Amino acid sequence: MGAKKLAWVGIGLMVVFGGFLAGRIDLAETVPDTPLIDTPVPDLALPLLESSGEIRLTDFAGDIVVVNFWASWCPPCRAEHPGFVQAAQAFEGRGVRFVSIDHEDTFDAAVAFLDELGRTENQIVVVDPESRAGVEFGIFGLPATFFIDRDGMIVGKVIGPVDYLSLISLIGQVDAGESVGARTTGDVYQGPSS
Amino acid sequence: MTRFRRWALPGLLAIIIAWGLVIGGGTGDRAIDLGNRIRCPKCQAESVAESQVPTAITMARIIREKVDAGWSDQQILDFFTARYGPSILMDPPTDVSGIILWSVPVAGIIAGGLILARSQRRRESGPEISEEAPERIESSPPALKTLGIVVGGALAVTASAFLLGQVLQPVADTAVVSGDITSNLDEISNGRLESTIAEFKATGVMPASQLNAMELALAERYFEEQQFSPATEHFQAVLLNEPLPSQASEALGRMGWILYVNNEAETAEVAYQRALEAFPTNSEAAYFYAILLVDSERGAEASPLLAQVAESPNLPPDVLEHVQQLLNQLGSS
Repeated sequence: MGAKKLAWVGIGLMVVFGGFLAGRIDLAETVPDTPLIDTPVPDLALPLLESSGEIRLTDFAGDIVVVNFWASWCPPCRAEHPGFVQAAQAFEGRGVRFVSIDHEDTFDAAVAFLDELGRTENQIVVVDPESRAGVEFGIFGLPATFFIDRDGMIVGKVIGPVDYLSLISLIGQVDAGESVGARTTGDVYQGPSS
Repeated sequence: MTRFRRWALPGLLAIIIAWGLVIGGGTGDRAIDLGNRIRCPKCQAESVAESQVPTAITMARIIREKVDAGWSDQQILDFFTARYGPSILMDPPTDVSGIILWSVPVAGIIAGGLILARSQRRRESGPEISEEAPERIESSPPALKTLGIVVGGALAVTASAFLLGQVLQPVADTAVVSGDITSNLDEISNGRLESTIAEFKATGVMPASQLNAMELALAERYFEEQQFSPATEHFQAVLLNEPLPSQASEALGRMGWILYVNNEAETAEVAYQRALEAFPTNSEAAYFYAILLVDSERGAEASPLLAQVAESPNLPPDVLEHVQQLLNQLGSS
């Protein structure tokens, strides 16, 4: 085969490659699923936001735990927070605990957030020192909510905001022994400048 | 000199390829090298080693800790993929399409080198001269010119093909359900409806209101079959997909009933209230709510709702009978 023919073959390969490249980029997911489903909850010590002391996520064996990552700079976190407060109140004393992890935030902004949008006893608000909890849970942005079953296994993750009724129906599914899996409800925010 | 000139440029190409694949990837510091192989999850386009966001700094610190603790490179990479998935790595993917993606440019460079070598060899051997066919004399361009043509042309064509690929994206096949969607749903099985809904969600081409109509229809089927778990899942999906007020009200009313029969009366009441807020004339939600109130011995609150339901057009006879029975019962108490 002559040099010119080789060159045309090369050009043809580049055309195919370019189209393939375009198609592959278009297919890329922007928010991947989590591989943490059906794995044990990380044994993390998390300091309380508004008092001394800490909790460990492994302290709640026997209860369903809803772990919610949020921050004051995250608009969908603001939208979903009242629903979490309401759900925490509804499930108080019924074997469902709520752990709200304030991620990459400041103390004053976090407290102001809670002053405005609410707190309740069954919602334990903690901080995430050095974002280690975010790494252990593999989060790409906020909000992110994880469902832990009574055996301490992660059985569900929601990427994006969760409204009140969706929250309680998901808790119901976990209570029934179902694995919720990973699902996306909307965009996530990655930092204060997002 | 002839042999040197013949192999100089192809040799230079081989060195460039080797540098890119082997030498260019390492700094000598394992932690930094690993940081360059892991993507910052908050940045998309930067590695952990490059990014200054808090999460990336922590990940870099974790890498350093594990290197110091004697973890192997693969163990450290596995630590992060176990939490974020394989997309956290900046390494080339190992699936078939990924291998194709990464091997074509290398193949192109190798092909370019072969063209150069062939062109050089032809120039050194001189043009072909034949008395019988003088038109077969060919001239070979200089090697550098050939290299420039191959590389520059490949770059230009790749850029053009990329843009062309973006324009010529395949159109999603949306002709899954023919005719009027809502009127044909009765003829479609649950499984078919599930897959149809999933396809429309994947393509994103169907307006939310139409997709919700399909999803509500499927949820209603499950509800009638008392399969409350899939019913809840689909009602929930409707609520999360910009529902019309009537659609939200229908989903909330049914979810309220599911909650009520699962002894979640308090949250069921909230669902009914939200259903009626979204669409005040939802007689079904009003009927369900009235039943909850009567069972909770809150008849005074139930009576107005029952009266509203009794006035609703096209009420099923058995429901109308039950409503009148309850009104009589409350009126006499």
